[in-house]
Amino acid sequence: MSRVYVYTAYERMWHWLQAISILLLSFTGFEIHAPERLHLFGFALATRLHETLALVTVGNAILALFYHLTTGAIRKFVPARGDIFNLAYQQVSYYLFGIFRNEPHPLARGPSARLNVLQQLTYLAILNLLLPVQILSGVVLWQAHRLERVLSEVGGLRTVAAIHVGAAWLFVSFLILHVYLTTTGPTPTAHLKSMISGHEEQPVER
Amino acid sequence: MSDLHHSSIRPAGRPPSWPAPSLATVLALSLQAAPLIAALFLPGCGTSEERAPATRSLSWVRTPTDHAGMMKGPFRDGPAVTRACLACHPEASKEVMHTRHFTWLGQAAQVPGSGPLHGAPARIGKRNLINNYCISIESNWSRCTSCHAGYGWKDANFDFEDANRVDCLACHDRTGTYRKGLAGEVAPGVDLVSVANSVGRPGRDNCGSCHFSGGGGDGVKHGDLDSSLTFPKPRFDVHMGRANMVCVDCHRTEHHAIRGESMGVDVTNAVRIACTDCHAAAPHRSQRLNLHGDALACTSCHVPLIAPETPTKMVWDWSTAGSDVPGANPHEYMKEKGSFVYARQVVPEYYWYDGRAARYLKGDPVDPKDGVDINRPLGSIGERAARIWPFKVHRGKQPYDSRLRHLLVLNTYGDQGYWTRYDWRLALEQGSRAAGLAFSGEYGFIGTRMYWPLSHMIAPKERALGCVDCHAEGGRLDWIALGYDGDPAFRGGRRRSGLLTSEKP
Amino acid sequence: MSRRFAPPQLLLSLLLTATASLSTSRSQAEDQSLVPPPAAELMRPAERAKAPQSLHPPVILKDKTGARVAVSGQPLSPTQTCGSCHDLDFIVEHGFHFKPRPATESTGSEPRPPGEEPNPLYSGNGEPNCVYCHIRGVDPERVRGAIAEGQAELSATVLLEPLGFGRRTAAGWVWNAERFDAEGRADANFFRVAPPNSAVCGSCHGMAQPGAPKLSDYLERRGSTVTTGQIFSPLRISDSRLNVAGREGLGRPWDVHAERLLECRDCHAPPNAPATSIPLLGNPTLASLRSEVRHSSYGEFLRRPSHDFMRGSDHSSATAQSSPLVRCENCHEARSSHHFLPRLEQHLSRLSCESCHVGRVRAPARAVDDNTMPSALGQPRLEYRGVEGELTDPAAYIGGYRPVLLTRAEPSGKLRLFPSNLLTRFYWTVQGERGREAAPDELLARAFFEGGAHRPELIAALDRNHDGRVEASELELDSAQKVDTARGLLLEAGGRSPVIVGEIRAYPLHHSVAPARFAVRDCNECHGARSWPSAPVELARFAPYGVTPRFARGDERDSGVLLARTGNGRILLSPDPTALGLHILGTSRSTWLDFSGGALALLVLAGAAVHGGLRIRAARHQSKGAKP
Repeated sequence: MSRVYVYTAYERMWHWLQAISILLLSFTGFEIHAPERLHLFGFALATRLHETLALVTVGNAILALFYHLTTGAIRKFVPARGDIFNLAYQQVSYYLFGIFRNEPHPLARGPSARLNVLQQLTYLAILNLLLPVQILSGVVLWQAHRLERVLSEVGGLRTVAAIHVGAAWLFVSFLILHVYLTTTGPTPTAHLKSMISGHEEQPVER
Repeated sequence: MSDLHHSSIRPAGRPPSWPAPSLATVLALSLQAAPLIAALFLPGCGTSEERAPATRSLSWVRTPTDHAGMMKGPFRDGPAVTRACLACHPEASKEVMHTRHFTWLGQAAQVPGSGPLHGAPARIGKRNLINNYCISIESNWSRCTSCHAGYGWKDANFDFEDANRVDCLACHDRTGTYRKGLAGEVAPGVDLVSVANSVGRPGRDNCGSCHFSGGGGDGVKHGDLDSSLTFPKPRFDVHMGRANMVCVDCHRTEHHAIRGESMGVDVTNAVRIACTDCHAAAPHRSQRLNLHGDALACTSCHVPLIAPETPTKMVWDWSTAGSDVPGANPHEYMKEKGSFVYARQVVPEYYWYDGRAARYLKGDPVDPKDGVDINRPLGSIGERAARIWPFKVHRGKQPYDSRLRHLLVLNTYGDQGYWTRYDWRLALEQGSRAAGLAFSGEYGFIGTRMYWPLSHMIAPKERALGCVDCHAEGGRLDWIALGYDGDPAFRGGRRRSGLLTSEKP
Repeated sequence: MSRRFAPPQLLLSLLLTATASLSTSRSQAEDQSLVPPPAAELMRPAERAKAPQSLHPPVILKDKTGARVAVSGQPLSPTQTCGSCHDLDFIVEHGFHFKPRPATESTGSEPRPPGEEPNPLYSGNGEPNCVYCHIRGVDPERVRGAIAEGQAELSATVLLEPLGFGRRTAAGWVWNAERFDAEGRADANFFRVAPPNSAVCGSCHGMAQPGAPKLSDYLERRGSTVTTGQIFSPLRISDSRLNVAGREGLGRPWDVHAERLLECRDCHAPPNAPATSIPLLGNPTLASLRSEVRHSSYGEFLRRPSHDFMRGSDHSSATAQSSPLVRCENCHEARSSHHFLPRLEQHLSRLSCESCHVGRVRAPARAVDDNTMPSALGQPRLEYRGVEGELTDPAAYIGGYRPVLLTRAEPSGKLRLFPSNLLTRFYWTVQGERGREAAPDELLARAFFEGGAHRPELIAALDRNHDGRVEASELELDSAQKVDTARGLLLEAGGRSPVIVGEIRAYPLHHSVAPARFAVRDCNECHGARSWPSAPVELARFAPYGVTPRFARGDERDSGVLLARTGNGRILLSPDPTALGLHILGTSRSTWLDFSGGALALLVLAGAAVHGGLRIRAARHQSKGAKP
C-alpha cells in the first residue's frame, strides 16, 4: 500500500461545505415543498434557510470554479479525449463484475487522476446542466415578483417550479448514488477518509 | 354563464407518494441541529391568537423561616406573643412603631388646602382626620382600632412607646384564623399558639383583613380593594389573579416600612408606588398607546371599572339615620348610619391628579352651598406632572356645625354614642370635645366628597379600555371639564394644543 | 350592560342598576316606603360639560311649497329645506344611493334576487331624504314604516319624531311648536346636523351600531353582515354576548378600524371633499404622486358635496364606477410593517391585505338562500355557515368560518387573492317578456299556497313525516318527483317553462378587520397540501334535485374553482390556485413529478442496496475461499 495525496485542503473544504449546504438545501427544500410532511425548521425559517444556503452554494461554486480554472485542476474533470468509451466500458464492467471479484479499480487515483470517466461525465452533467438549471430556476422562484414578464414567457411559476423540483429529485438521486459509490474504494471507508485527510491508501501497482 | 362547469369531485387530498424510508434516517440527524439553528433566526410566523402571558419571577422574595414548633405557648394574650417575637427579633417592634400602621399618623408636612391650618407643617393621619364614612376615630377608638396594628388602643391615652403593644400576628398569621376585636385586642377564641407557629410572609388575606373591609364592611371604602382579592379572578386582577402576586410584592417592605400611601390620609405623594417601578415607561407595542402615558395614569385604562365583583359604597347619607325601619336591607339603610347606595361595575370619574390632595383638616371652614371636598385631588391640565386618574368618589352627607361652619366629629360608639342613644346633639358634643372642636350646639348635614384613586384590580390588557371608551361620542371622559378644547384624538393632546403651562416636573 | 358603551359617568343610571341588582333582597323588606332614600343631590349624576353645538347654522324647516312647516303644518321637504343652500340636483345626480338599484345587483343590502324594495333614502316621492343620514338621533326604522303604509311623503318628517319635533297621529303629522323659534327655525339642540356616523350606514348595510351584536339581527335586515358576517363594531369579541368559539382569547375588536375611532365615512368619503385623499396608486404616469392633492374649495364642497362616495366594492355596476375605490393602501404602507414575512413582495403582489386580516370571520354568514319551495310564510330556506344551531337561539355556538380565497382585480389591474363569502341562491325562473327572469313572489304564492298553507299536492309530495304540514326541514326539493310537482303547479299558475336556477355570488370581505396580533400569521395555513387556498368548501348542505349552481354573470370565477355535487345534494367547491394563475409553495405541486422523482431516488437507493449486498456477499465468499 502507498499513501497518495488525492485532495488538496481547499478541495476538501469546498467539498464538505458544498455537501452540508446541499444536504440542508434538500431538507429545507423538502419542507417548503411539502410542509405538512416534514417539520424541521418551520415554514418561514425553512424558506429563509433555503435562500441563504442557496447563496452559500452558489458562492462556493463560483469560488471553486475560480480555483479549478486558475490552478488547472479543472483538467481532472475533463475526460481524456479518444478513449472515453473504452474507459467508460472498463469502469462500468468494473462496477458490474470486477468489483465482486475483487479486481483492482481501473483507475489509479492521484492528485491528477482522481476521477474516473463516469465521474467525469456525471460531474460535467451536474455542474454544467443540473446546477445551473437549479440555480436559475431557484432565482426565478425567489425573485418572481420582479420577473413577471420572463415568467409569462416560460409558462409561469408553475413550469419553473416543476423544473426546480424535478432537478431537486435528480440531485437527491445523485446524492444517494454518490454516497454509495464512496464505499467502492479499496476499503468501504477509504474514499471517505481521503476526503477528510486528503490522503488515500492505495494498493501498490502489481 | 360559463360553460366550464365540472361535475366531478376533485380528490380532496391529492396524496403524492413519498419515498419515506431514505428520508427518515437523515431527518433524525438533522432534527438535532434544527432547534439550534432555529433559535438563531427570526421568530417569523407564529401562532397568532392565544399567547401565554409573560410572567417574571419576583427576585426579591425570600423564603421566610418556618416557625412551626418554635413558638412555645401558652400565650395569655397578644402582647405575650409579641414578647416572644421580640426575643429573636429585638428591632421589630421599634421598626413597626415608626410606621403609620402603628402611629396612624404621617410625617410632618405642609398639608395642601386652604385655610389657616394649612400654613405650618402638620402631622396628619387616621388618628386626627375626618372622613365621610364613620367620620373620625376620635371618641370611637375602641371600635375603630380593631384594625390598629397594636393592642389596647381604647382611648386618647394609648401608649405608643410600649413595644409589647405591637401586633405582629395581624400581618404575619398564616393560619387565617387570627381575629382582632375591640381596641385591637385578640378576639376571643383565637388559638394563639397555632397562630404564632404559623407566622410567615404576609399574604393577601393578612392585608385584606383590614384593607378589604375599610369603612365598616367588605369593599365599602376603596372600590378597588375587597374580599374578592383574596382569591382574585385573572380577568379582574392581572397581578394577583394571573401572576398570583401578593400585596407585599408591590408594597415592598424594608424594616417593616411598607411602601405605598392612601390618598385618604397621605396627601403629599412621598412614598407612592408606581407602575413604572416594575413596568417600562413605554410598555405598549403601539406607540400611540405609549403617547397616552403623557396625560394618563396607567390605571385610567387598566382599571376599567370600580368594584367589578363586590359592590362598594358610593353614597352614605348620615342625615336619615335614627329611624326604625324593620327589615330594611342593611345595604340600603341602617338606623345607626343612615342611607347608603352600593354599586358594582361603576364607571370611574376622571380628574387631573399630580399625587397631592387638598386635605380637609379639623376646623377648616365649609360652605354648605358647595359641599366639602375631603381630599380634592390636585393637578390640572397645564401641569406636566399631573395625569388623568380614575377615581371612586364617595359622596356623603354628614353633620357639621351650621353656625361655626366646620365639620363635626360624631361619637358613635359607647354609652353616650349615637349608636346607643340616637341623640345627635349629645353624640356630636361628645365627639367634638374629644376631637378638640368647638360645637355651637347647632348642627346640620352637609354634602361631602371623598376621592379614592384607583390603583388595584388592574385588568389584563384584553379588558383594558380601548379607544372608543373615551374618544367616541359620549365616551367616558368629559374633555371640556378636563380642560381640553375637545376630544384630543382629533385636536391633539395638551402638549400639541398648547395647554401645558408648567414645564416644571 | 355592555362595558364598552357604558354611559359616561352617569352615576345615576349606575346607581339605579345597582339598586335593581339588589332588588331581590329588597323585596324581603316589609315596607320599603319607610326606608329613607339618600338626599337627592347625592344621587345626581356628575355634570358633564356641554358639548359645543353643531357648526351648522340654524335651519328653517320648509314644506313642499317652501312655506315654513311651523306655520303650514305640512310635512318637511328636504328639497326646499336643504336645497336652499345645497345643490340637491347635483347631490342626486352624484349619489348612488339615490339611483334605483337593479334587483339582481344588490350587493350589501338584501340578497334576494327578485323584487325591489323601496329605498328609504329616495323613497318614491322624488326627494332625497337628507334627514335620514344627516340629523343625529333620528330613528331610521320609522321611514320603512311610513313607506310601507303608503305615506312616502312623510319619510323625512317621521324621522324627527324621537327628537320631539312632532308626532304622527291618525289625522296625519302634527308639529310640536316648542321645537321652533319665531322665525320657524328648528331648535339646534335637537335638530343637530352632523356627518353621518357608522350607525346610520349600519341601519341598511350591516351591523355597525354601537352595542353588542346579536344573532337575532341576522333575522332582520342587516345587509352585508348577513351576506358576509362582517361586523363593524369597536366592541371586543371577548366582551360581546355572542357565543363565539374561543371567545375568552379573542380580546380583539370586531373591527380594528371601528375600534380606532374610524367611522364608515372616513374611508367611504365624498371624493370631492377637501379632506379626502384620492389615491393615485397604480397609475404609472403619476408614479411620483401618492394621492391627488388638488381639491375643490370648502365652499364648493359644502354646496355640492358629491355623494358618489369612495366605493367599497367593484361588485355592483349600479354604484358609480367613476368614484375611486377604497383600498387599504390608501392609508397603509404594508411594506414598513411586515418584515417578518419572507418574500414580502411576492406576498404583497398576490395577497390582498384582507386575506390575512379578515382571514377568519367570527360571525355567521348566509350560505344558501333557497326560494324554490318557500315556507308557508313565504320565507326561503336559509343556510348559514359559521354557526351551529338556530339564529333564533342567542346561545347558538358560533364557530365562524374561513372565507374562500378568490382572485379579484385591484384598481391597478393586478389580480390578488381576496377572501369572500359565497352565497348560493336557488330560485325558479320563468320565461318572461324580456327573456328569462326570476319567478315573481306572486307567482310562487299563487302556485304553491292555498289558504295560507301549502297546496295538498305539495303536502302529499313533501310531507315526509305525514303530519299534514310542510315543516322547514321538508322544504327540500330532493327528488325529480318533487321538482316535477312544483313545476307542474307553477305551469298551472301561469308560469312559462319554469326552471330552477342555482346562482353563486361572491361577497368580498373588507371589514371585520383583525389587528395585527390576530391576523393569519401561521405559514402553514396557506402553505401545504389541502391548505386554506385550496381546501374544499361546502357551498350548500343541500341543493335542489338536479341543480348545480354556477357563478353569477359577471363573476368570472368558474375557471378557478371546481364544483361538485354529491348524491345527497351537497355542493362542494374546490378552489384551484393553480388555475387562478398562482403558485403557492407547498400547495401547488405536481403529483406525477413528485411521484417519478421519488421513484427515481428510491430506485437508486434500491440499486445501491442490491449492489452493496452483492459486494458484501462476494467479499464473504472470497474471504471464505481465501482462508483455507
